[in-house]
Amino acid sequence: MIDANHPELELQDLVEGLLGPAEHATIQAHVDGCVRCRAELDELRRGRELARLVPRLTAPGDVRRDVAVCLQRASDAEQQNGRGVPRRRILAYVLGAAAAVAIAAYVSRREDVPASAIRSYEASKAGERAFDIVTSDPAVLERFFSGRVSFNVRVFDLGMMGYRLVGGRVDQIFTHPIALYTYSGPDNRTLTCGMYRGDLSELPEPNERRDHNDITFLVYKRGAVTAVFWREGDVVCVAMSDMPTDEVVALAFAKSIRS
Amino acid sequence: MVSTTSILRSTGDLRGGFEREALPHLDAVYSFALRLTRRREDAHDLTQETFLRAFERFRGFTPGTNCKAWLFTITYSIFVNQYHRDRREPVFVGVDDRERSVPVSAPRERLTPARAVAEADIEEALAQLPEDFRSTVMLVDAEGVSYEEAAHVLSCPVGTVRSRLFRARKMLAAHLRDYDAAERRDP
Ligand SMILES: [Zn+2]
Repeated sequence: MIDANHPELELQDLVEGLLGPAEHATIQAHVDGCVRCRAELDELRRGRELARLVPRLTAPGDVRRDVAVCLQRASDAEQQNGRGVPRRRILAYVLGAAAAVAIAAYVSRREDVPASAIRSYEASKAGERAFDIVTSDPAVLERFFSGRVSFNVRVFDLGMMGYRLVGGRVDQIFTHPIALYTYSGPDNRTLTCGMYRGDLSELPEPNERRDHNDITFLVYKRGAVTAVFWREGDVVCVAMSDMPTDEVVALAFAKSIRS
Repeated sequence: MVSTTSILRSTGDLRGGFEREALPHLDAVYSFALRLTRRREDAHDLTQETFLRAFERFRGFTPGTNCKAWLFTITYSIFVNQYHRDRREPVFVGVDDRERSVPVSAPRERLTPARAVAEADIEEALAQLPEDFRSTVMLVDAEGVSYEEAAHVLSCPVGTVRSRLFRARKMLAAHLRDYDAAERRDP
């Protein structure tokens, strides 16, 4: 049995800082005079410290892939008939033949990344998506990203081209967290650059493939928007803009670094 | 910020909203699923089903509320309904959380050898907790979910979250103490 004279859960509330001033004083006074409760309090503090060290695990690649496939199918089905496909069928599909899954995953992710990136660009341009930070200073933005993504983000200074940095945010293009930052340029043009950890093999067949300085650039055109992707180490860079395609490509050439 | 109406307007918007709000929590959901099921294959399926159900229900999600806690509610509900029955640990039939004891030989999720010893030890201590203690610790301590949100995820009163946390932290501390003692004996 628990001795009613010794606080129990109240000790935890003390650790958590959940007690009101009067109760805090009462419990603290008891603890100060009670060896048993002091030991208990220490134990609770240690337990809480230990619990907070429980590491966040990273979902393995096959989990990311299968979640992506599920969502792609659910979203496609919804788009086609306004209603979802029965969940069992989607899961059965994904859990089906491994080869079919691998191909479907490959195709769906290939289709997804540029579309997802361009959607994000258009949301920025339309002002539908707020920035996490508004700044015209590339160094400030680089520091901001360094605490939020697990890779180094280079923020370009494009002042010479007449493009002024506006701000940036961490967004999500399908299963990748992406550091995105946007510039405002002449003629009301908008340029958004982004970096995420990934690989070019996830991307679909581009409209154009360009090589420069031993780097391959994949060029996608969607309406007035051009998106150019290239790889630097394990990071994929993208530049997206409504400026003429050649200018976006030239900018990507100028700012890329061979890895 | 994206408003409710712009999220709900079309399937494309729905998907975009889901990608922004829900998908960033993929690792958190997977971590929670793995700690619940303790089997990679089960955690894989549970994570996948969580996101699929979440996508189906996303029109009902209120922007600005805690999306991670909302996902955990879905994960836990699937877990209780589909995985709980054949879980591989002793089933505790106490009326009071305080009466429970730690299972003696709970199966453990193997860690990659590259992980630090301390991390493996924490993982082991966590694995030895009864499932509902473990899920409470995961939510409140590891994921920073509030008592109220944890109570909602676990479908239990806030007082139960509080008492489970109390017992779980004491068990973890006891495990750490044993570990420290073993380290001193056999460094
Ligand atoms: Zn006492």
